[in-house]
Amino acid sequence: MKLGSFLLRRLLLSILVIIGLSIVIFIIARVVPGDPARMALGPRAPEDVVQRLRQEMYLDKPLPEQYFYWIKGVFSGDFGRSLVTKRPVLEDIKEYLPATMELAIFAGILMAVFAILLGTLAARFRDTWVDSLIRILSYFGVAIPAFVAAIIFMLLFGYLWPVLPALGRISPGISPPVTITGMLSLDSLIQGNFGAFWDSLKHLLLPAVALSLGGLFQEARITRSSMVDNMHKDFLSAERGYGIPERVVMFKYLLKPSLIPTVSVMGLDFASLLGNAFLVEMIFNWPGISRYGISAMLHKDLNAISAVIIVFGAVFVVVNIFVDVIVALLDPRIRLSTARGT
Amino acid sequence: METKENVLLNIKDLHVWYRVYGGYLKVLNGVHLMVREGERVGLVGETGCGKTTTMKSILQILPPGDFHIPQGQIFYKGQDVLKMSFGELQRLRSREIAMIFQDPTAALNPVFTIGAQIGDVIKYSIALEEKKVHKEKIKTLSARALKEAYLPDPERMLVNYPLQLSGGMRQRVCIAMSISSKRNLLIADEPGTSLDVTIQDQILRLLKEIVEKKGTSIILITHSLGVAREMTDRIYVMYAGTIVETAPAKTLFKNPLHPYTKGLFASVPKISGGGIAKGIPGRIPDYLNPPSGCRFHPRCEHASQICMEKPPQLFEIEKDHSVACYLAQR
Amino acid sequence: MRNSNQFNNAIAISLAKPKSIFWTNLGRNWFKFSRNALSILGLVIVLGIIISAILAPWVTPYPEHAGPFVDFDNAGQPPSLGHLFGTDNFGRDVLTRIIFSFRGALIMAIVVLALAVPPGVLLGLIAGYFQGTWIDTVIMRITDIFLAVPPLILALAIASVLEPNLMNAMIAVTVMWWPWYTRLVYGMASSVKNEYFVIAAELTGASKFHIIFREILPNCLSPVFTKMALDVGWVILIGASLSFVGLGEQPPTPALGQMVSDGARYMPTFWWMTVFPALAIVLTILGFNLTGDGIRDMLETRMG
Repeated sequence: MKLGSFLLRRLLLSILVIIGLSIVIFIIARVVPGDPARMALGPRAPEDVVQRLRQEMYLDKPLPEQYFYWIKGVFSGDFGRSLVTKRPVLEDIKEYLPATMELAIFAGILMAVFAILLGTLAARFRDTWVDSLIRILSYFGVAIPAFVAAIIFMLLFGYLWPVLPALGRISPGISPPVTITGMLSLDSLIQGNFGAFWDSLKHLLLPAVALSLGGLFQEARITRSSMVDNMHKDFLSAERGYGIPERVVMFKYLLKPSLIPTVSVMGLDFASLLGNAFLVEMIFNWPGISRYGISAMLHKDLNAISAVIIVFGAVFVVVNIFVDVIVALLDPRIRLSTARGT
Repeated sequence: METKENVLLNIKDLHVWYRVYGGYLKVLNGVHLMVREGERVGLVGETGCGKTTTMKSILQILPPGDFHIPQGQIFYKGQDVLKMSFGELQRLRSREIAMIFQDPTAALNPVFTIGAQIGDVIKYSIALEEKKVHKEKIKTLSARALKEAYLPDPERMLVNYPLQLSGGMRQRVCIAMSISSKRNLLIADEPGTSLDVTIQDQILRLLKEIVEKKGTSIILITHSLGVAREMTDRIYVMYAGTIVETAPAKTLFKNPLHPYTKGLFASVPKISGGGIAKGIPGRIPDYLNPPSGCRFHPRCEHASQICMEKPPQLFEIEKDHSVACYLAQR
Repeated sequence: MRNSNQFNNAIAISLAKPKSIFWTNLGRNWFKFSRNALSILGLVIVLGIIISAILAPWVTPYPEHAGPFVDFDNAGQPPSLGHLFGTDNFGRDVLTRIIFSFRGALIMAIVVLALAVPPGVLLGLIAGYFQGTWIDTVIMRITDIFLAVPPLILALAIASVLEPNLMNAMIAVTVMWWPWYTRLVYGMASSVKNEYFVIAAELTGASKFHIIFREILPNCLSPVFTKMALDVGWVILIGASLSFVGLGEQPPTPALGQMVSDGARYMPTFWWMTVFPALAIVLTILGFNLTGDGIRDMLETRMG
């Protein structure tokens, strides 16, 4: 139907947004007082070496030109060199990004599944103790920041009852799988290395739960209220009245419209997932791009910082498009009214 | 009045209560209604008097919440609906009775296609008999139902969403869903009232044609006496959850007996030399604390002591014409 | 929902009759109150935080611990009567430092909102009023750009390129905060502007200034206020996240996130150094969330 043009519009808009983002980042990066060339080489490098580097980095050219060179580099994958690791930022990204993606995706799945589950339960048993319990849990779940949850989990499960490993992605002594996607759990599953798979899941669990907590409960509340709203709608009575069995009415005709608000929120929640990943990775010593980004920020590693932000921006934009597509699939009203430019 | 032959639906003394904060809304207070095979019955009353509740009770599709039926029976083909099992209820809904809702926009699920919705209705109706149902067959039957409701281009209509249709078309879709399989009783809840008058007229004519062609019985809910007169054989007048009068249409129009019915007739403005119509003073009662005795007595200018004490029962005044009023029974 | 109207009618009528109103209302008010109990709890928490923050030097047991103070003999003491939340690795009283850190948190929230909300709302009004023109497109695209990055990341990035102190942290958070208000107000302004009273004002020759500020703005304010109340909690959260990584308030001034991260190193033996600041964060956010919910209920019932 109109899905194709809808998708295209979103895509074009997103590209525009990313370009704008890159400009903003570039301005920010150049705003910092201090001399990037000198910072790269250190205080003891001789002046002429620094001057040469300045010319290489186009620091003497006007800003728009600098931007142009930088963007050109970005498109060919060249983000420059990291001050900290001393190697091309692109390589750093390639190494660390999959770990964060694995964490974020796992947390996202946890969030979605449990939010829908809890929300449906709360709606089904509304005004009973089940509902009240879930509501109280949501208040806390939303109020506990991810890094606080992370620390509490570390304390509880890492030290008090060490049932789950607290640090890193995989235990020493387990042979890691060959890198295909970079996501340990996926790779080990593909290769049938179930020992590694199980182990990596255990490592994933704590940080993923810590990350997903806030969004999970918020989405559960939204699911619940949306289901309760829809429960009273006439079309359900009508469908029942025409002889459609109850289970079909519940799981097909009630569920689909109720999920729309939830899925819409999931995009935003995924953003906070990514943002919180920064802190959670630090706590769990998870070798992801967020941890890399934080160290870049603390060391004022401009190239790395810009690259990380662009990468996150791009990931977030892609996720948003994905979420928008799903919402459009669920709710025809959206894709049919876009044509009118509402 | 109650001949045993050909009685399709027989509601006896139905009471329905709805639990709200502070007590119960005693909406239905002893409803009696009967529909015979092939009969066209009109149910007339003002908004809020309980017509829709009665109908929904027949199909047991009252909205989820606390509904309580303290007494009453609903016999369909001799079997009490209120005691039916889930399977029997489903059979009732798929094969016997269908209800066309008042607001077609609300009655259609906005996120599913027409084809999906009507297809499911047909699918589960067939599934009662056959093990496996072919998609092609469902599609054919769906298109056919849509065509019978005079919807243009039925094949294409199947992939449309409700929001793409006009109000009149949506109402036709609801009708199509009701006639998608052979049913014996149709319930039309104020068909076309949310649409403009010309469309409403078309819808009513469509219903008339369907009923005549298929010999289906129909309960037509309306608050318009004109529609009732044209389309029905027998009329039940309802007020505040009770049937106050019932008679064949002609008889009722010639000789209304209950004060409320008389008030209804007087409320219709006459274009030729009538002046401003006289309404009925007061408003429908508070169901939380309904008036004692006859529920109409606060608004009735003929109310007497007994009216306030004991609710009057339906009493046959002349052939086929019953009234629930002490005044008329004198 | 035509079929439910009967019941709504009935309920409305039943409320109008004086005889039943007393018992019905009592029950209803209790129900409302029980929901409001949460809001009152939130209010109590919020007031507690604000008052203790303002009166910190006089309320806390060891006010000098909030500054440059070391007492290694007393370092790492578990919670006791003298130190309700124990002492940290420098021997400073954890409770005192938590209360003092509320100051920075509240200041940040106030400043950030004061700086971010007016421009955000203004831009949203303008974009909404001129919807469909290039003004709208430009403003909203810029807003989209800022919203394209997960919020915390942007704040971290900005704060990291500047010198780490409270002022710069506030700047960073302000820069990433205003777009949310723009988007919020844009949605409302663009629909309000089609209302009849706005069109009427235009036809009678009112200036654009008047229309935007006297006609449209008042109708957008309720959700803005609700959001501001809820946002206090979120700003404090972001502030804590920033100080967790060392951006924001610098030691020895206490900051909640910083206390959590400092204490994390001494886990699990000296658990109180982390757990209490962490609980303080949770409590703060909880308090402002509950209060914000209560404000929303209040504002919305008046409108509805």
